[in-house]
Amino acid sequence: MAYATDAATPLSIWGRGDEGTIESVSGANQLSARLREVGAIPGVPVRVLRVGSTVVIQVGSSRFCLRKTDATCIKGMKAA
Amino acid sequence: MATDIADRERPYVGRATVAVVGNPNTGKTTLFNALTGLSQRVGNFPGVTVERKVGQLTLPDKSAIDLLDLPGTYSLSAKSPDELIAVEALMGLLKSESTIQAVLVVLDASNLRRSLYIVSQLLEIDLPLVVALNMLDVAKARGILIDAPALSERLGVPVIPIQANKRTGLDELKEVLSRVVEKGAVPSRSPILPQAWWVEAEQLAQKYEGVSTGLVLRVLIDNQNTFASHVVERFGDDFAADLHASRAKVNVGDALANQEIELRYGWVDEALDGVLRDPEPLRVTRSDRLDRVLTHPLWGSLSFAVIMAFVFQSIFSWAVPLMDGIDALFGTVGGWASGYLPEGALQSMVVDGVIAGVGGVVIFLPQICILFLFIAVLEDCGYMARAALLMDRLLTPCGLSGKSFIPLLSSFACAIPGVMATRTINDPKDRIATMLVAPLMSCSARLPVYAIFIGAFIPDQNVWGGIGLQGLTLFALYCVGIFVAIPVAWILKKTLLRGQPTPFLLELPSYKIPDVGTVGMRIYQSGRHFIERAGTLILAATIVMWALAYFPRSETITAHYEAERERLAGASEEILDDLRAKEAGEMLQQSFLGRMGQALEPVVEPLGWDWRIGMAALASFPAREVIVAVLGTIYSLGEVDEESTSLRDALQAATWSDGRKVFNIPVALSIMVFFALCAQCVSTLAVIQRETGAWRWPVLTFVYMTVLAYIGAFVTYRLGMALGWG
Repeated sequence: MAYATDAATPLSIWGRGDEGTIESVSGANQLSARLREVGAIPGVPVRVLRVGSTVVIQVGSSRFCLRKTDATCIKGMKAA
Repeated sequence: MATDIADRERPYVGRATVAVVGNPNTGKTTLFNALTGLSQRVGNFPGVTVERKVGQLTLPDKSAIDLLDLPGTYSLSAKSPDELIAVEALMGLLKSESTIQAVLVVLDASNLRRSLYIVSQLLEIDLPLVVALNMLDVAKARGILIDAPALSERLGVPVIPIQANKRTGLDELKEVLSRVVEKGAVPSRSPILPQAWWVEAEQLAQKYEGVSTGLVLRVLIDNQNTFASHVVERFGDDFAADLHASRAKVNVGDALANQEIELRYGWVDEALDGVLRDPEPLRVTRSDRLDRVLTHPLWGSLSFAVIMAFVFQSIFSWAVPLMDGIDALFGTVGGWASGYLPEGALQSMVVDGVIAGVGGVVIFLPQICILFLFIAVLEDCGYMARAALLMDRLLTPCGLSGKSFIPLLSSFACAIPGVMATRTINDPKDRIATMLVAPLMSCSARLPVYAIFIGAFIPDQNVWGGIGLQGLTLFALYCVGIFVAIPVAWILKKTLLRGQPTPFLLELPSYKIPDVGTVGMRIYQSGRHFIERAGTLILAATIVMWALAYFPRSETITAHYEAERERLAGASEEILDDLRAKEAGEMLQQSFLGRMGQALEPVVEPLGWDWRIGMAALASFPAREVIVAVLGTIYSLGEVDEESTSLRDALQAATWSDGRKVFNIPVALSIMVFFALCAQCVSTLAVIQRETGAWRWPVLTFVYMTVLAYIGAFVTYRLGMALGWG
């Protein structure tokens, strides 16, 4: 079995300061569509700036806040 | 594919209109203010109440164009009502809106990749395009290098580096705009989207009148979002069916909307290759370090509370000298008018009605301006988004999201822009719930009411470290609205507006020094609005109330007191003054207003009010700040203290018929709580009606707020008396 670090994980379980790249943004709702439009597409660098019920993520050079429950739709590959 | 550009020519008469678009937080408003200055007019888009800002821009050749400031949007695929307006305006779908001849798009250089997404869409709507590359200083400070001429070449449209906050690059921008508007050259279409999509779009556009290729393409891709549903509704079932067929033809695999995003970002990356050099995209900025404190669950919330307390304290303490000045001015004008005008109805109307009434309202202009100063500064520096983040946690349990925070906060200035600001909320139920509680937020029109009663009755004591009891009382009154709004929103979302919790996504822009011009413009516009209201609605209400309080003149009372005066000829000034006061009081008692007030008294007595307060509150249902004007009129008619036109002194001196003081702390608090909760604003109710398109929502707002206001005032008065504050 592969180690957890090799697989993409939802950003909702990342810790503060964790960095990596976006693997996928799933879902067909307006939130995920908007996330993709503002640049959350595969390969883009991402970092978690705040954890809690509302998380703050940095996508490329922009920062967005969203609920932890909504952040589950973004999966990323954590940098070592 | 280079089709009929000639067919799409947009003939116009008079001045050309250029739309200003861009992502939120790109300095779009700052640029708009810098270009148009005081020539801008704020109105509404026809039929809808999104704020429509138009300003005149004078070009180097002295000719002028109109700049139309559209709501900020990340994409032409509209997802909220305000984005819908922006897209509809660009697509020429807004009836009676002047046709747009060109588009000026504002980009954030420190966020270039994301900003270019909407540019890729704007290149396809067959309008001349000019790019203003803003915030190069921020980008440079982060080590980001951008080759603007190369970018211009890649995009095929002019790219002008500017710094809106420092007003640099504007001359070149104006020259380019002038050239582009004159030539009207539409950018050639970059091959971003597949040929097959364009073919379908063009076929449909030819079949239906008033439908452009760009529009069909948009709804073909968007499928079911706000904009697409809106357009399909407008062009009918046949159009919907054809659209569906076209979509089925081109849609192989992933949804078109997802494909669009990938294709566009592919194009953006290609355009930026060699143009943008960003050595370290995930660098930790000063903003990030600041956010560690300001968005921290504990320290962030504490900072928020301190900032708010400071704002309310300043509203009180900073405004005093200015208010004293205005007071003195109206006192002088009043004295001059009494001396100049002959005694009688005209003098009474001018001195007791207009000057005492309108003057009593205008005196609060400094406080209104300070409130707007803080709102504008907090907004412009980027703090508002952080506050929304912190508030999401509190708003989620009431069934709302952090998105409701900004409309609610704007409502502290005025519920009307607050209700309009709900257009940024995507979910219709959240939006209505936010609108319904927005009028509970203490708007600036309540400030005069609080200020007069706090100033007159709450002792000016220092509680702790420069925070006074008066400031704290004001803060508490602002909290009343908030604490009532929580259960109201919760009940609404559990009953009439039940729905799933809605997602919340908000950008946190980098902190910046607020732009003086932008803040100044906000203060100027709100101050002007306030003065206009005082000069129209409030003036009219004041004159009506004055007439009701002045007429009918009773011959019997006049005759009786004339006889008294003759009998007491030679008595001391004191006795004569007392006599005049009695006469004025009796006149007021038997006036139309007095008679109505006495009928009303049983209703307001449980709140600790006398009939004069009751009438003033009743007269304030069209606009709540009328109470100050009406109290000013009533008390200057009922008293004969010629020395002072100050309402504060008149209130402190007012007595019941048995000589007891009318006002004490519980009565003052009861009035303020009533005004904190009551729906005394016709304009707000009208805006809710227009925004929701249904009467039941303003009616519900009015009923629930008025009932709560009465209960709240009753409880406050009884509690205050029980605590021995009377």
